[in-house]
Amino acid sequence: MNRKILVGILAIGLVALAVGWGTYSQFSDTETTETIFSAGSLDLTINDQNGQTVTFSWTNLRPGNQPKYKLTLKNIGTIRGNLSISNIVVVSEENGLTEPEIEAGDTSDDEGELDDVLNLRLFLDYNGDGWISQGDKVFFNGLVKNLPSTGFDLKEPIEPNGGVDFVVELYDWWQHGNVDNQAQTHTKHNIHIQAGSSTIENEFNVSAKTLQLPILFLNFKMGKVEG
Amino acid sequence: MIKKKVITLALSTTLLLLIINILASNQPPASACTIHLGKKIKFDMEISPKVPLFHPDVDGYLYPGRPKITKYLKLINVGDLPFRICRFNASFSGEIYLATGLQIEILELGKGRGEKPNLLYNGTLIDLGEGINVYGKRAVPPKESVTLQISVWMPVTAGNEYQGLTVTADISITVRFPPSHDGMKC
Repeated sequence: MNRKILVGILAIGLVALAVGWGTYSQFSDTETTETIFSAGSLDLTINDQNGQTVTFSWTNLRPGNQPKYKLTLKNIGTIRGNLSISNIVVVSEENGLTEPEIEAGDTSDDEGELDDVLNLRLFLDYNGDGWISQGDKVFFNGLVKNLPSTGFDLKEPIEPNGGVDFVVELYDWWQHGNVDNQAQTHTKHNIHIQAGSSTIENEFNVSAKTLQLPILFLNFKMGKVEG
Repeated sequence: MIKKKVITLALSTTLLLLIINILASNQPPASACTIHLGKKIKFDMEISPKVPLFHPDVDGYLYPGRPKITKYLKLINVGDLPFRICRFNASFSGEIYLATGLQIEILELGKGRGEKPNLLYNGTLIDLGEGINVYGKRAVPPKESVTLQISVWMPVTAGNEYQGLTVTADISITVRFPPSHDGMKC
């Protein structure tokens, strides 16, 4: 009888020990470390405007003058970006034929000629005087029709809260004889410059000697800087 | 008389074992614990540093293609029993979507220079939130430590949808005893 009791006690003890050991084996400890991650941002503005259309106008445009427009491009993001113009689209519209155009030999009513005669300078104006100075980065100087559709990789770093002035300048558009007149018409024309979500619409109101201007799309882009 | 003594002894033994069970099972499963098994035994881990491991004020902003940011977290055994790393977990606050665009790699460094690091986790930060059971390579004896190398980066394929987001991730590391690989849940 005593032996049975002892066996019983031993069995109960073993079961209890097993349960106890099972619980003991689950000892664990947890510690937590706090981490905070922030993703940087790139945000390009044109003339302090973002996500909307900015319009500027040149009036009384005529051969012989040298109109220009200066844009201030800023990085209001948190990381350094590289400025580039990702693609360029030039749309040259005939906009109807006038008598002087026909007399000058323009027979096409579906193809504009101004991009053949209009010269354009695009440069980064580091000293902000609006003119090409020593050290400024001139990255295009030629006929509008020769603008590369692929744009320009300017490799121009812009620090957070930094900026650069960008100048669009028309020049030398009166030296082509009859071709000048072929470019005539009377209308207003647009140049669209897009920067991310920002768009600048340049509206040309031509009066005196009316000429057709091509429509120029410049797509500004700012990408991250490697490293 | 003898029978009465035997019964009393049996009851006492059973009671003692039950008390041990209760003492052990009453310990919080996810915190340091102390039990008495003849002597005081402590099971406890501390981490170093105790300040936030990653912070934009120190590490700057993350962006696609930026090199990995790597930090080291030391797990110190301040208890009396060896432990082994067995689980990672994370809880998030803030703009949690950013956690889907971040990759995290956690390596358990070896004791000496010659010992290869043990990869414990490599995946998105958000997946860490589901809790990941891992198998630490080394049983860390009392008064010793093991170092985790934690790297975070944003893949080059990440897009603009992550721009400007900030997320706070509390990363929890759980260690357990016994330190053997027995397939037991952490």
